[in-house]
Amino acid sequence: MIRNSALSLGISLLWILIAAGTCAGIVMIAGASPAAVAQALLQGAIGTQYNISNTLVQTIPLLVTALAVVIAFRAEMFNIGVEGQFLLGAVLACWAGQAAVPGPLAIVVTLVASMVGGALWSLIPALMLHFRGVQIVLSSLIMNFIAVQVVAWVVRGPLQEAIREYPQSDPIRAAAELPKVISGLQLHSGLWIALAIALLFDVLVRKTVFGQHLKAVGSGLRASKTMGLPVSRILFTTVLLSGAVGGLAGGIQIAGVTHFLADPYSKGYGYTAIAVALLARLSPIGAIPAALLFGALTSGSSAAQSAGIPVVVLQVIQAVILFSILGARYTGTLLRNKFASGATA
Amino acid sequence: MNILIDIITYAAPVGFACYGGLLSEKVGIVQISLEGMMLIGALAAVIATSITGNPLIGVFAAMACAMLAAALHNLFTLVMRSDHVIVGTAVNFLAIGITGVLSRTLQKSHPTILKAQSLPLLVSGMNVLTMLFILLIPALWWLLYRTRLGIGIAATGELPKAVTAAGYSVFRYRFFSSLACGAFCGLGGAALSIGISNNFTDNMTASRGFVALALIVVGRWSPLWTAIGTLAFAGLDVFQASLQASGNTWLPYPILLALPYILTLVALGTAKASVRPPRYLGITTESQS
Repeated sequence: MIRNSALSLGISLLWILIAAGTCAGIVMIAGASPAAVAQALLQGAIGTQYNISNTLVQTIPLLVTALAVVIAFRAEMFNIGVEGQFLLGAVLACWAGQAAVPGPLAIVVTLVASMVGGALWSLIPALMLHFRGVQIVLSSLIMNFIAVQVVAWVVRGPLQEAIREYPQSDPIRAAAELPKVISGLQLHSGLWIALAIALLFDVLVRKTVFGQHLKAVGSGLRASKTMGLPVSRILFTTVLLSGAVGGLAGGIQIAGVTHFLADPYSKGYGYTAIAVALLARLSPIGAIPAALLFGALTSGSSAAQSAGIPVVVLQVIQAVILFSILGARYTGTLLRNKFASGATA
Repeated sequence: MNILIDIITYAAPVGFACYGGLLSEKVGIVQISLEGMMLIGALAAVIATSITGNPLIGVFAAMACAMLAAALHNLFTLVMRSDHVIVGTAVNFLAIGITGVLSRTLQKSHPTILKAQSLPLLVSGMNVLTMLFILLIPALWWLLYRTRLGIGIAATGELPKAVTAAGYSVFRYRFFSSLACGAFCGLGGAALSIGISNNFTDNMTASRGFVALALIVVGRWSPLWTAIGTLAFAGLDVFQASLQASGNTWLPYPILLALPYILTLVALGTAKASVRPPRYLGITTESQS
């Protein structure tokens, strides 16, 4: 037992070394000192109060979009259209946030509008699946490309700023902004919304009938139909829920961070979210640390830029971390199998 | 005639990625990483051409480098049996990162290295890659539907157990199809960077790899229909570019840009026969000796 855990600890350390070594090599190719970059990354991620706040700000859209991916993927509905749902959520939030809605209701209206935007955008793939049997994984992907153009169009058309100078919208009204958590820092209360959704989804998938249905549909469509489950209704609900949460992520970004819409709007959150969700093994709670890891990397990389390395190095580091985690999981499984077979022999 | 050549030229990069994705998906491997492998190919082609002065060497360098990325994909999906989508995402990250770092670093020391001569035009304005793109349509059709190898490839994605029972190696089919996918993506990248253009710019593939994934489904995993879909898509692209050049005002520009995607979606929705991917797509966890 002790030997077993010592061995897996050793293997984890080995993978961390491999990952660190590879990253250091790439950084050296880019002509910078690995130690300086590591220090800058760490400093940029958690060095100061401001940087911690920035890490969390970067984590929020990743966490919310990852949760949208989690809920859909659990039913084997490969909604990779969260990017598009994020964008449409942002568009509708920006539109609703400019409307004259009194007081605290303004935030609610803005966020609900974003959920409607995301859900409507996911409705098209859902309908195509239902009536034509078109796989979500493709229709939702194509919807992303269309969403990018929708944003490009609205910031040059219906939502363009009143002075019509740049392709961007006017800001939403102050009443529609999400309040800051600590005054003076960028961190906004979208953090609580993100964490609440994670908890809610955790209860949803583990404790409710809907969660059981998700699991059943995810593990076998035909079997679920034979069992008499309302498969179509479950799939529709799942895809729309996923779309609504993806849209909400865009709404939170508008109401909490940027306050206006610009083109291009997303930094590919919806795509990174897929990696975050799969890294978390589709666990809503597990998505929290996974999103935090990527949030910290994003925040740290802007600091690393000042250490003299291009921001694209971040992509390499993200890739190396993903590969290392996969490698560690593989060696972990190998080890477990070995000990298991050793026990039975 | 000129417009037709234009369309074929613009279709070639996506078309090669389609061929690669097709081969890979036929054996059951999901290739989210077409995009990344194209990007690697695009940079490799420019650098090798720039150093040697020979665009053909650039083409081979593109194939070789993209195949390396495919081998990495294989290591994780086939040997370690990780989830294809995570591995593909990681390869894409890696490709964007490595090409970004390398192009910046090299440009600092050799300012002209990202400029290279384009592939020479052969008959009637087509270069060797655009011709290859067209010639591969019948060749791949023949390979996939008329040869033992093609049947083995299709069977690997449909019923790997049968392949094993017949005494063939599922692993080998998957490994080499995926490597071939890398080679095709390298060609696609080269068709972009030294075919259409004569330099490398950051992220120059601009989602073409993802478009290819969609076109494979529109073409129902058939090389012929996929190529037709690719040409139609490129045709729309050329059409919107010419509309834009002619100063059209009746359709907002972004909507024009969205048009090819909207029509792809419509094509997916109206495809009569039920569109079904290979049965074992994304599942390589079963035994594959």
